[in-house]
Amino acid sequence: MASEQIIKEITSIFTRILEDDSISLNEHTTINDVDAWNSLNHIQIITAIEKHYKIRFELNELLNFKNVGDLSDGIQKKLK
Amino acid sequence: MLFTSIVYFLFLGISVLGYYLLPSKFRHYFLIIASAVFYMYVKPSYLLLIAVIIIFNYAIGIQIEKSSGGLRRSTFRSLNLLLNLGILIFFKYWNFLIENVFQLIGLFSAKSTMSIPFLDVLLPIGLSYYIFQIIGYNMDIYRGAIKAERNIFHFSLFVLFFPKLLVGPIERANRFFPQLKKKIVFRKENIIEGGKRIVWGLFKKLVVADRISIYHSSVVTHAQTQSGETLLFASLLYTFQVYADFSGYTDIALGSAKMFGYDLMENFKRPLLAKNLSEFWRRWHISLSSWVNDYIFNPIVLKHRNWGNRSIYLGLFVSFVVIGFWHGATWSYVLFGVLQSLALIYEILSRKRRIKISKRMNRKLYNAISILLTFLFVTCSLIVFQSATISEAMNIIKGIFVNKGPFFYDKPSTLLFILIGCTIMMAFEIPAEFRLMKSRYSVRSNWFTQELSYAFMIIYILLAGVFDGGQFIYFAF
Repeated sequence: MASEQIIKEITSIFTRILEDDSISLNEHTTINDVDAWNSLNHIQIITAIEKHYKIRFELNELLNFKNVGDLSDGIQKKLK
Repeated sequence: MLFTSIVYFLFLGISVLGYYLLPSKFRHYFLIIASAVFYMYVKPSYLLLIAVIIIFNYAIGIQIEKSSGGLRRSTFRSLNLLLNLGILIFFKYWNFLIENVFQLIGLFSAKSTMSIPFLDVLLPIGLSYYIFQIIGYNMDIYRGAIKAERNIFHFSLFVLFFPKLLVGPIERANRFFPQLKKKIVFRKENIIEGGKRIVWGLFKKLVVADRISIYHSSVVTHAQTQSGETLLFASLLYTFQVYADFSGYTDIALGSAKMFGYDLMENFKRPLLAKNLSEFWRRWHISLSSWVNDYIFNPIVLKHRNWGNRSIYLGLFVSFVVIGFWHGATWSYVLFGVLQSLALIYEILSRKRRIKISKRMNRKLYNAISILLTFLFVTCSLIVFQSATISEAMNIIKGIFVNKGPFFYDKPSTLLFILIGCTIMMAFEIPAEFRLMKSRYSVRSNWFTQELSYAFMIIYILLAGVFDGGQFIYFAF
C-alpha cells in the first residue's frame, strides 16, 4: 500500500479518536504538531491502527516512531 | 556557585571571553575544564564521582551499541541501569530506605536492639539530573534511536556542561550531540539573547521567588497560629514562588548556554495557565516529564495496551510516583506524585462529561474556570510538596479551613512588592499564551520597547530584588 494511502487512512483514525475533523497529517507531523494528540490518547490511536490493519507492533518499534512518516513506514513493513 | 551570585557572573564572563578567544578546535576542551572548575567549586570530591560516572557510561554506551544479540544487549542495559540507579539510591535514598526497613522490622519485633546504619554523606548537587540524562542516553542507544558517542570529550561535555549541570534541564542526546558537531562562531545576537534571558531569570528569582519566600516562610513556620486566610494566601503565592524560582533558574541556565552558542531544552511553557492537569504536566519541568513519558510511561502503557485504559492508569501511577520520589526521599514527595496520578486518572474518566459541559458554556468562561481549577489543584498539591512530613501538610490544609485570626501580610510594602512582581511576570505570560503579542524573545519585535523593558527590569531587580535569598528550591533535588 502506498504511503499516501496509509497516511490518508490513519488521518481518519486520528480524526475519529481525537474527535477533531480539522486534523491534517503528513509524514513529518509529530505529537507536538497536533493539539489534541498526547501520550494519553496515543495508545488508543495505536490500538485502533493495529485493529484496522490487523497487525501487531513490537514495543521497540512503537517506542522509536518519531513522526507519522515512521508510523506509516512501520505499517507498510508489517503489510508486506 | 549560585546562579545569582556575583562569582557566577564573573565566572560566566571569563568563560565566555576565553571560549571565543580560543581557536574553535580548543573550545570544547575549554568548556570541559570550565565545567569541571564550576563543579569543583561546589565540592572538589564530586568531580571524582562524576568522572567515574562519565567513563563508565561512555564505555557501556558503546558496548550496548556493539551488542547485536538480545541477551548481551539487555545485560549491558541492565548493568547500566543497576549502576546508575545504584549510585543515585546510595547517595539520595539510602537513609530513607533503611529507616523505613527498620521501622518495618520494628513493627514485627517489639524489642529491636539494632541501630539504624545511617549514611552521613552529602548528596552531590545535580546527581538526579545528570543520572537521568545519562540513563536516557543509554536507553536511546539500546532502542537503536541514536548511535553511541565515540568522542569522549563530547560525551564529557554532554554530562558536564555547566549551565545545565546542577539543576538541568535534563538534556537529550539527540538534541545536544548534533550541536557539538557544529562549528560555533561568535555571534553577538547569542550574547544579547542570552543576556536578556538571564535578566528575565534574575527577575523571576530575585524579585518574585525570593520576595515571596520571605513572606511564605514566616507564615508556614508559624502555621498553627496563622489564620486560614493567611495560610491560603501564602499557599497560593507558593505556587508562583516555585514556578518563578525554578523557571528563573532555567532562564539563567538557558541564557548562559546561549552565550556559548548552545540551545538547551525549554523546561516551562506557561504552566500556570494550563487548562487541565495533563496540559500542566506537558508545560511544567518539561525535561523531566517528557523523560518520564518516554522511558517509563510509554513503555508501560504500550506494552500493556491490551488492557485498555487500565494500562494508562498503571502507567500514570508508576510515572508520578517516580516523579514524586525523584524530588527527594520523603513520603510527602511520594504523596505529591500519587495525588497527581489520581487527578490525571480522574481527568481521563471525566473527559466526556467535561466536553459536554464545555459545549453548554461560554468557551472563554469555561477556559477561565478550567485554568483556575487547575491552578487550585496544583496549589493544594504543592502544600504537600513543600512540607517535610505528611502531617505537616495536613495541618496547613486543615488550618486553611479552621484557623481563625487576623490576616497577616507583614508590611504593606511586602505585599506590594510581591504583587508587582507576580503581575509583571504574568503580564509577559498571559498575552503570549493568548497570542495577543509576539514571543518575549522575538528579536524583530519593537526594538526600542524591548530594550527599554529590559533596562527597566534591571533597575527594578536592583531596587526590589532580594540579594541574600539563598538557594534555589530545585538545588535540593
